[in-house]
Amino acid sequence: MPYVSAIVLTDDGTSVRANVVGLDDPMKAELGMRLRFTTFTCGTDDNGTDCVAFGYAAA
Amino acid sequence: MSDAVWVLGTSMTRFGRYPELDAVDLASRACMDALADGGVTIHDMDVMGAGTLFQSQTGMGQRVQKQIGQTGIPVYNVTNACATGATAIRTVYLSIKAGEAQMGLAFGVEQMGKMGLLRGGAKAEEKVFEAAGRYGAVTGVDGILGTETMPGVFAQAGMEYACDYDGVGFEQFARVAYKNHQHSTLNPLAQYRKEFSMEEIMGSPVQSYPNTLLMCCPTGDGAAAVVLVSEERLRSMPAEVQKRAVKISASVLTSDPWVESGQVQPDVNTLTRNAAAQAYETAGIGPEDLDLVELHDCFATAELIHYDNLGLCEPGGAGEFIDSGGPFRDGRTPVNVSGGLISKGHPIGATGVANVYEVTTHLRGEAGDRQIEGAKVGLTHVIGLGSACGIHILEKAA
Repeated sequence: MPYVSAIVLTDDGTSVRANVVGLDDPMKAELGMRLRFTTFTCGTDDNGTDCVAFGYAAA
Repeated sequence: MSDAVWVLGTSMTRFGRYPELDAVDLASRACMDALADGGVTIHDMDVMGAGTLFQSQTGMGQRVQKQIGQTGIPVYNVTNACATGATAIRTVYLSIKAGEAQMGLAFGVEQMGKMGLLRGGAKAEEKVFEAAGRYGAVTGVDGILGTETMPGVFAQAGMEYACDYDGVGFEQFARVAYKNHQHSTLNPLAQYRKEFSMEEIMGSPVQSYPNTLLMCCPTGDGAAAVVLVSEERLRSMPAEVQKRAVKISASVLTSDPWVESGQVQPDVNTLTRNAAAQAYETAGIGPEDLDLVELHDCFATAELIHYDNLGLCEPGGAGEFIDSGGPFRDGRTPVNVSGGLISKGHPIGATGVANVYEVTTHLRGEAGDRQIEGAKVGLTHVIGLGSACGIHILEKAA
């Protein structure tokens, strides 16, 4: 599955590597686009425990 | 007499797929041919540098010695990601510079079997999530928290350059691959020797945008070797041997200095710029003096940013440089006339020695159809993530 890997520069100057999520087309990601921190479930184990990851969505 | 170190002999196997040959076969072939090319034998070697990545724990140097001659000399088995070959050369170079050797053999080899493009991709489908490891993670994060794999890292590095400067985009990156595939048609040692149109390159399957399949180096098998000699020993050799020797005017290795963002995206620029500055200073030349360059085009995006990192173009001017034909074989500074990693191939351990073979061959006037006429000075560059950068500057015998 194609995903968007990004280096996100937060407003306080920290660099974060994460996925840009919530795009219906990965090619819609644009350099310099404003993003907002979000979380998403990235898997569930046999006990039903969810694994949660963070990412960034279009702001 | 100076204490310079010279390339006396060199050889490489054609890069490609060799399912019937193992790494020891390939390396032995390259070593024997390099020794013959230099008119010497294993008995003349005082030291060996053996570079290989995926079999780095198998004592590759000693395994090759069992094929070409176990003479009891020191063996340095080295690995440094994609800079492995350059590191193997460095160990022999340093031994000679230290006065502990007069002649040495360095080789790089890789047998990559059925590995495809080296990409990762974690799926969080463990049986039971349990925090483990350095970061207390419950699963691998590659593909979930961005990517650290090579296609992704070098795509990101290219996109960062495109973001910072005008005139750089998908087309400029694609043009790099167009050039290298075109160059490779003249190189009988290249893994692939086919030309592609810009449409074919830009239309091939996206691996990690903006790098499409035809903009990525393949995996493959191969080996390359060099015989190095001290100036003192060289001066005792016949005139015709001295004339074919090529001087190493600079041999540099760097790693990446700390930057804040380096924690999330390897900075492949600073360590290259640092290595280039050291190399130019040591050799007493500038980028404008280079007649040819063999640099590390693991991906088309990598080559483009290295034009800037190596000072081959104006700062920020890599797009203009490729568009104006600068790095083509008939341009201002021919880059990767061998076809580069993209078309010549990239058996990882071999690459940092194969580029020295290539430049040496041009400086000797022996590069056949792909010869850059009148070549006197060349530069080789490799960079491995982690990171390590190796640069050599080579000069024709006067």
